[in-house]
Amino acid sequence: MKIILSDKVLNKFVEGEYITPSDEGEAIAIACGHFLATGKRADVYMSADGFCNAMNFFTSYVMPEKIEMNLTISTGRKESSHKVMTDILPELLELLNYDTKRIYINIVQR
Amino acid sequence: MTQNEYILTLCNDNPNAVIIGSLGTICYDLDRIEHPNKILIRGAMGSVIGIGLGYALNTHKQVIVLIGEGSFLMKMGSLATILKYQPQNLRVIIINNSSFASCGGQQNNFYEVSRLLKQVSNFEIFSPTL
Repeated sequence: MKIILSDKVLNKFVEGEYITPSDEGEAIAIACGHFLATGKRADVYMSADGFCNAMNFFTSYVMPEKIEMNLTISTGRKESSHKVMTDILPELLELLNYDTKRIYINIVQR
Repeated sequence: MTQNEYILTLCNDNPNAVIIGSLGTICYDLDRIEHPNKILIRGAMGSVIGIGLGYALNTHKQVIVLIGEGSFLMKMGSLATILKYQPQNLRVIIINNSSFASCGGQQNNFYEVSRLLKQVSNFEIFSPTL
């Protein structure tokens, strides 16, 4: 299952092949439901500043409950609103100290 | 009917369903009830709707989500996602006590949206007696 909230990858998939949630936290939640139902990882795509929206679900449910998923986070947009998270994302992920065997995070540059 | 009685009846009436409970008093009640397929979400207010949707889209089982109205308000965007995908095996039951009961009992604004939800088939509202 693919859950997409990033324009970076949209052109690679056909509509109907992926889920479009309302926000990044919900994207993470749907991936959790997929994992609980199937035991398999969902692929979630979001932008770096959108990851802030997902942080609550990530730290309060995904990490403590040992959920598995693949997460692709795109960085490097030129707008000022994206600059802070683009700059600090690698350090932030290190600080989160998540289980890299369960959660695979791929950072892609635009 | 109190919230505890309602959840107990729901669990007894749906032994084969997957019952996913949101944090707060719903989790406390569900924790004490025997049910083979219950999932307690102890964090992240509002996440339970997305988790229920992700579960329902990947199973043939009936999925029942129990969420407080305060949690629902925090992630009302999930309503739009459910309206789009409309999984027939998903029931979302909003337990409405009109306040954030676990963190001080502050009033919230659920009443303003409760009438709109009556038009959505996946959603039900239960208002418990205290």
